[in-house]
Amino acid sequence: MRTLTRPALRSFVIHAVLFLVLGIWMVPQVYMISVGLRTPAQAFDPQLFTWPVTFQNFATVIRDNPLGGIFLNSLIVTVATVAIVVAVASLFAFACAILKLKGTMFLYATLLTTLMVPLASLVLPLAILLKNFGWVNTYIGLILPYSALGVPFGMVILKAFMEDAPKELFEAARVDGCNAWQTYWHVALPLVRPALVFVTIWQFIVTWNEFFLALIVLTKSEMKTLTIVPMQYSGLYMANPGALFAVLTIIAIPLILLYVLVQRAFARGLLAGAVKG
Amino acid sequence: MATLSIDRITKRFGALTVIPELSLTVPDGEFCVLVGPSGCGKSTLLRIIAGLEPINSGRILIDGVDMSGAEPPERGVAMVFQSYALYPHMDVGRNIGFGLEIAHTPRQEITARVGAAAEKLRLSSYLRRKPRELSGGQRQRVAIGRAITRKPKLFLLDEPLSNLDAALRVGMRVEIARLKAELASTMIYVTHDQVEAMTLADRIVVMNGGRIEQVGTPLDLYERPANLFVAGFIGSPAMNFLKGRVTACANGIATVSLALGSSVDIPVSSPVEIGQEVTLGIRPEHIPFSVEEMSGVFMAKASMVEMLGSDTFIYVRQGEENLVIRDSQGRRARTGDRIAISFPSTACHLFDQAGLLISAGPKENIAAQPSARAHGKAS
Repeated sequence: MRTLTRPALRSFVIHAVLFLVLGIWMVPQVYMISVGLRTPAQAFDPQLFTWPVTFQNFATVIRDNPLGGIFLNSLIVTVATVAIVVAVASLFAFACAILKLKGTMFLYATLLTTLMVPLASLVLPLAILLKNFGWVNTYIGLILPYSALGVPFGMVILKAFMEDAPKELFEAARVDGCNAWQTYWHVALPLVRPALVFVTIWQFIVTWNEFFLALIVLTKSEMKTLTIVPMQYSGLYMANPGALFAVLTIIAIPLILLYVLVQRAFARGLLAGAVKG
Repeated sequence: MATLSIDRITKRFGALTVIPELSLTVPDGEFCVLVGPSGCGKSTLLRIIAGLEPINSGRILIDGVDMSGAEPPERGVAMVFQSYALYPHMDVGRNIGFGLEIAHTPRQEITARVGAAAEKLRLSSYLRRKPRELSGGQRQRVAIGRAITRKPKLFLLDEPLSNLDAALRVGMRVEIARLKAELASTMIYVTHDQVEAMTLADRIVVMNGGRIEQVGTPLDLYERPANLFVAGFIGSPAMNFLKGRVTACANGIATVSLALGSSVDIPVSSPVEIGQEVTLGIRPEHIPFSVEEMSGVFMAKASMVEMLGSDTFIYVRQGEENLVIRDSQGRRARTGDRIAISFPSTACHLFDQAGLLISAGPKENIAAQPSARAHGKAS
């Protein structure tokens, strides 16, 4: 029998451990899909897989709800929030880390403190504000609070990446005649692309999954986002766990697709060759 | 092409003054090399000229126009950075033409100028490659290409060869010398490598502690260093320094008695006093020696011999004094040999206690002739 070489053995062990962790990690997701594919009688069966499978729950969820419109609501709110967060956070990070504008560090420290405030404590004042502005049941009523809450985290990540980027590249851009805006657009953003992708994915997940504020702000059924839909299948007298898990699966699919699409952008080594390292 | 005038500038970083007060003029078309040890302020000075670093006082004039507060593009400067500073997400062609792109130069002209620069720097076949796909030498050529396409008034190079290995460095040095002849631009080049400075410069500015120690042609600095610092910095191996005392002085000739037991007559340009402590400087290549026992000359034992093929370095230690002798004539001294050494007065530099040159006259016809001996005594 051929014996494994040392690197091959190491690789085998690493992969075995990773698969084990992945297996444990995947249990809730697999269970979610599994329950979504069960008949009401099997719904509380503790087994991970049951037989037969049925797509009846998905049919119920699609029949009961205008999913197209709800999906579009979620998409509009999420995409707009992600765009605002990425734009504002990257501009602020650039002003802070590269331009080192006066007062930016004070603003940075102030914004950091907002990361420590729980959403629950903000909901009431936010609800009053949104009502006063007339933004209840509007996209903007969700997009702006989500953006405000998302910017500090994105800013921390992007500022750290910009600070790590070689300073000479920004100086070279200055010598090449770039103004601040051109340096931001042509040099800073491409340099922190992996961080932009991370912030985009993170903000997309957070916004897409947000429930609490959406529940408060959106009361009209035509304005609902996806995360509010599962509520009708759960409650004190909940009777349809299959439909609940089917709708949860539907909510998760766009996130999985997004990650599959952009995960290559996480690839490292973008800076290779920029400066002698 | 442009004339650069630096007028009494000062630069501080917080409480630390890195350039106390400095003035310098670089005439149109000159290749000026700023040289000095690490931390002497040469790169800071270059960045000040580029407009990347603000000054605390003084003025920077380019072609007589005060550019002290101007941004780099307004100054018409291009800079080659020590670390290349190539944009990693752009290919070679876009890196070279980026400055033109930002200046809204027509696309056709950008293509033509990038093509010409690439041709000049032998990069034509790499235009579609990303910086990470290039070798160190190629990256540095791209950085130079980026600077020359913009046809700058002032061409600034910040230790452009320091990240290259020894063999590449020699090749790139030749490239830069060729470019210098082709472009005939005003160039300011920062290096700590005196070989680069000596081979490339029309004029060298030796800096130390944010001040200019001496400005001159490479040969000026080699032959008539103004002070101990310049004398020790220019030349490799460094100039030998020997402690001595003036024992007599008549008709502008000072007799210096050396601590290692020899004396030399040296013409002086400043008055000296009997008993004054001085430092005698002599370059390793200017010390005549013989491996034969001789009378009437200073004899010493070779404590170590390094043979490099073309040259042999002989190290002599006598009491507190250390001496290096360079032998280019293959006289085959070996460690432990007793050698006869002399100090020709034409090859000697004399410095006072403040370290300033006090010996007179240009050093002419300095050659390591074994027959040219100073008077000394046997050890």
